[in-house]
Amino acid sequence: MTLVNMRDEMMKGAPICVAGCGAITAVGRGVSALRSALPVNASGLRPCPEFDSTRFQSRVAGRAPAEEGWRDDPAFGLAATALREAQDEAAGVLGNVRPERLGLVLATTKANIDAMQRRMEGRSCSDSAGRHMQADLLAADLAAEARAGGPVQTVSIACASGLVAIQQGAKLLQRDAADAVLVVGVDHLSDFVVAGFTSLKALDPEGCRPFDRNRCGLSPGEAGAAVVLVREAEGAGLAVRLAGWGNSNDANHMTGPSRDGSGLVLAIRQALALAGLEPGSIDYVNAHGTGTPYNDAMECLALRSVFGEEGPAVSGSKGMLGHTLGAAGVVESVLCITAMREGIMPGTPRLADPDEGAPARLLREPVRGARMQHVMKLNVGFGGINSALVFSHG
Amino acid sequence: MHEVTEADLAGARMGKRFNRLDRMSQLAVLAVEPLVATLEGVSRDRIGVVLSARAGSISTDVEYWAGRDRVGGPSPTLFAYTLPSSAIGEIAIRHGLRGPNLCFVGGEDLVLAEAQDLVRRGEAEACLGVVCDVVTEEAARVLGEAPGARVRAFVVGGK
Repeated sequence: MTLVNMRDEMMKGAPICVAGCGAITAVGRGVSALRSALPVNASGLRPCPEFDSTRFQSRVAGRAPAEEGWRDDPAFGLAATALREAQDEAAGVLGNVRPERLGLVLATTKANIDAMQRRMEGRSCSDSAGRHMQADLLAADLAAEARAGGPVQTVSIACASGLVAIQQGAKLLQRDAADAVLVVGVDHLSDFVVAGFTSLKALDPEGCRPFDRNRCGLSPGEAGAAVVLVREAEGAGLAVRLAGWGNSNDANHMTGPSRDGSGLVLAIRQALALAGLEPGSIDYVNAHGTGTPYNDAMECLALRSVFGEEGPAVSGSKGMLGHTLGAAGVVESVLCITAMREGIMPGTPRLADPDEGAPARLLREPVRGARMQHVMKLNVGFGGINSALVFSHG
Repeated sequence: MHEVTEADLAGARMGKRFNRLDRMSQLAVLAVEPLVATLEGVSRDRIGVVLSARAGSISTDVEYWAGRDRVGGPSPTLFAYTLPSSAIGEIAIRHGLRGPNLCFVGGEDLVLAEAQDLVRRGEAEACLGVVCDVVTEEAARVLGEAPGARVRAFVVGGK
């Protein structure tokens, strides 16, 4: 099947649009916090005293605001908070959806890993927190909380989980398995993950600096984020729709990206083909942009390969939010959707001195009033996973 | 359909790298090994992998975190396998498969339908489906359930 045929096949399903968003991140609670952070290029990264320097490579992380009672079950708390906000925004559309026609797709890498740590260390852990260390049970309980009685899926595909989960939500709608789908991404900060990146020497002690000449690692973050997807007919008048996607594997290395970016190029080209767009139509790319030397260099090569020397505006958001792993695709998509609604191209918080290989139109600061009709979101992950999404206005 | 269990690992001759993989990845790689030959003639860029892991990566999570107090911290090698999708990466590397990937926690019943859907949509020309049910004894104690290790694999599409 050719790429043109792939597009025709995809378009047989109804176009999908975004009816609501929710987020709780290092810059605060609610999409309003993202909206406030965008124009001032704010960073939510802070030193976190619990990650002491004798055990961890860096204390800098993106900690979301906690609520009373969450710390036993942070994954559920973060995800449920984001879900409620997204459902509230989409209430007008969701009011017409029967519970058995409301689906849920969860994106996570580690679910409530804190509970596993507690059990192995002989510390107390509530039954529900223990249950939520299993991602599919976390998804089932989030669906119950959201009164989503339709299909439930749990996607866990490294740091591309969020983008793949959004695609799965769209596919459920196109197959008419649901009339609306809640896509929620969550991962919480844990000793487990920070120790892992410490062991790989992958953390920047000063906090991540995506695409910076002096970048030397990522900063972990936590977030809950959610989007409500509906078919365009049900969401008539909603501004942002999901136009296309693409996925690939580097088939190269478990923890490092391919040096030439060819795997990511495959995913980007497929997403453009499904969206029916030429590379020159993309106004803005929100990169994966971890701040690790190899990831950012690989992305620069891939972007140049597809878009040429000039290319679209590019920025990265992990200096604002930290690397939120399985939630990254959803929370960074919410950021893109918010930026499209506000007419602001996001900057790259914490970027000081752009690398010489960086994209020609790398944005250090946000740009107001910029054209944001077609936006591409990229994520890549361990195991060579690459994913690209295109969001379009109207 | 090809099914493997723990017992099949004993006689496996899969090369040096294979010994460094976590248990679920070993079983998944072993399960797809005879199936890849049936995909001769299909571009490696057009072969996808869809995998489900009933218990996620809990077995490797537990093994990794048991090493938290060792000098230098827990193992960086094991950390790379504390993702349910790790086995997809290993399969892709071994056979050069660059098509799309999907990974579910739970969702054993989704694998066939999603693999078929990737082919039907034209996102892939062929797809490997891999259903993993791996819980080591140590992980079983943390979860409060019985241990077990079984992986089934199949092919959808192709020439």
